[in-house]
Amino acid sequence: MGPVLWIGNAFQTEKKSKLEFNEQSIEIKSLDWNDSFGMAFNQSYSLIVVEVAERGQLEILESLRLHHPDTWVGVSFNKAPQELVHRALNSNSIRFFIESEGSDLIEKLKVPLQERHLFLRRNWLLREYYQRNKNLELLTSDLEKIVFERTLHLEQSNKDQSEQIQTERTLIRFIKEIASMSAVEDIFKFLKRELRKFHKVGELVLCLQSGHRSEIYYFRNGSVQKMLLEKSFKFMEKDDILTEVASKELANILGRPFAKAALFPLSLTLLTQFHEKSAKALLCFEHSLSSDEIAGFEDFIAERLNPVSISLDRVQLEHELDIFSYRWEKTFDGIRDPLAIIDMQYQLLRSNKKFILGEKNHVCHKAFANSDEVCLGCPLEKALKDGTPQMGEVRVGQSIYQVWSYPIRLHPTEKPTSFVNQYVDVTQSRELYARMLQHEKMGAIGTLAGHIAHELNNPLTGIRSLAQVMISEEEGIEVKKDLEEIEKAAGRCQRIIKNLLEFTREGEIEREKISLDEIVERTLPMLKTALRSHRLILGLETKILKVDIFPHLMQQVVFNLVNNSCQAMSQAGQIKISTKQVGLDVILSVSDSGPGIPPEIKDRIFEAFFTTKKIGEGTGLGLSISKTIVEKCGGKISVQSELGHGTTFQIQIPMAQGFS
Amino acid sequence: MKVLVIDDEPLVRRSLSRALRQRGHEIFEAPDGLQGLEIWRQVQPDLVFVDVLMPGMKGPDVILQMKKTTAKVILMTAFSGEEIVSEQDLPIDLFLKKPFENIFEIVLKAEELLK
Repeated sequence: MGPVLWIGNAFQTEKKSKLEFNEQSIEIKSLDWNDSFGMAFNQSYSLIVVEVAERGQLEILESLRLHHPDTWVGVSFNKAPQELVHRALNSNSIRFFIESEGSDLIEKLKVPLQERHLFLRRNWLLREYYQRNKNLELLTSDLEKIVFERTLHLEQSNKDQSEQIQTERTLIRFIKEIASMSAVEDIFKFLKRELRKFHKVGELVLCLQSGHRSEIYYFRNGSVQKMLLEKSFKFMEKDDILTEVASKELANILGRPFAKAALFPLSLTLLTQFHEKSAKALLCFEHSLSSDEIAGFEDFIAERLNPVSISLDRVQLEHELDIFSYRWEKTFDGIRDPLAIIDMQYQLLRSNKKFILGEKNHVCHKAFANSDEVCLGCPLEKALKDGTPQMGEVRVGQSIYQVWSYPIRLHPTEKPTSFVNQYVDVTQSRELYARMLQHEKMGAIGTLAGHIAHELNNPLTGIRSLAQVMISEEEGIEVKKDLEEIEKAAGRCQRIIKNLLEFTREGEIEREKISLDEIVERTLPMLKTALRSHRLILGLETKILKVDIFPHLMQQVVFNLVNNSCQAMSQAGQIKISTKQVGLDVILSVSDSGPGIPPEIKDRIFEAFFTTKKIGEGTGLGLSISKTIVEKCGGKISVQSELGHGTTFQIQIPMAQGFS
Repeated sequence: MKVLVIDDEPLVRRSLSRALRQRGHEIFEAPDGLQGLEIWRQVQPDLVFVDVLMPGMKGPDVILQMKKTTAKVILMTAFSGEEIVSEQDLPIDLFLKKPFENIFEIVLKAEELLK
């Protein structure tokens, strides 16, 4: 608070030049009317008190008040004329009066000081209040503006958002539906339904192309039609497709006019990867939209293009995979050899129909061989160790399998995780091989027999000839008889050898008209050993009836039949060889009293290499060759057999011309 | 007549010799081709029996060695020797297959040749 200025002399008597106010020490400066008034104008004061005694002093007061507008100016009258007091009282510029009469002017000064203090404080408060009020008003106005803007914005974005949500909902529904489809036709129909809201959009066409093959889907009479083309769409060859070109080509393919086309290429990446060649797809909409309207339509489609692409790609790939899978399964199941895909623990991953020989089981050896142990000889373990295909041999029951284990690697550098086991049944070829060896051996014995027979012929010729010479020279009856026996025996030997030679002779064979009785008689000497332990009954009745046959071959037949019958009887039995005439045919029968042929193999006994004998005992060719020979001679061979009651083989041959 | 029998089988030689001797012929025997040729050169027989298969020299070779002979030649075999005869176009007068049914028939056939 500034000092107090007192102009006049009343204060000259006051001793104190300071007063205490509100715990402040306020200086009181005093000027006499005779003093210079510079100080009064140069400094600022909280109060100025002017002691007025004459008129001119009021004017100074007035100029001070004007100079210090914020300072309170008051008067103190000291014997002033009445008129002056009145003027001062009426003056607006005077804020307070102080009675200078009496004592304690300082105390009197505290009153206007206090008032001014209150005034200033009130003023300040008012100003402050006003200022704050004004600020508040400004803030409120700003806030209202913001609130208004925000509200507007909110309302707008709320609208946008609900639109957005609606669009997204529609899209999600679209994606959900299209993702659940499993056929191109379904997708195609679905797209058509979705387009109903575009009135100026007509038919849609779906073009699919993979390599040089194309498919086109379109609507005709409300149903989906599919056309296969053995060529590619020309308009799809270029990346930049011209709608006019597409319209023309589609019009040609569909055989009808085609309006404006809106084209949307789809990408079939999965299918392209699967085929390792480019697969393309294109959606084409026939429309009559104006250039303003088309943007909305294009946006609508663009939003859906990706899901359509993905679904179509998936559906097409599934279709292709189905076909591949079907083909693969059919091929796998159709393979004649048992095949199985097995993991390292001999668990069956997949097998073809031929594989399951035992019961269905997830363990391979259980399923294949009905065994709890890994098949002896299975090459899988070696294939696992070496990582290369391995071969082994496995026996299941009577069958022999050559087994190949092929390791499957999903990646060239990885270890194999599973194996393809292929089982080739080599039972028959093994048997055939054994029989072939046996057959070769028999052939060699035949040749050897021929050589031996020739070698024997020389000494026999000598024996017989010498016997003949000696008979002609001998006088003694007994010796002559002995020599005759020797000669006869040698003759018999010669005949046996002759027959044997003819039997084993290779090369050209000639037909001959001969009786079956003769054939039997020629063959019997060679069967003496075989017949030794059995009783032979001969009933030959067709000596004069000749048949046109290959004699040596027919001898082989008789030999085979009689030999078989002998071998069929493990104990001493009876063999009957008989011939008889039946109509225009001659029938030769060979019967035995053996155990008979089981019905289940009766139909197979004439098959080549079929035998019931152990390997090495028979070739399995005897009856098969016999059947061939009989048929070559124009006859038939048959068998009648009853278990436990023996077997009869019958050869029926028409009589030769001139005998019938 | 002088008859030479070349055969490695002694019984054949012996039986032929005995039968021919009965008929009064002079018989010479050889167990193989070499000895046979030797005898042929020495005695110049009228008739020669030659066996096809013999150890050492074979019958047809023996016959081919007997060039410019006046002797009648009978070739004998226990094998089917037709091929050998036709192949080599041998100068033989008779071809006989062993075994003989009757030795005396052979003798008769031989004597027919010598007439």
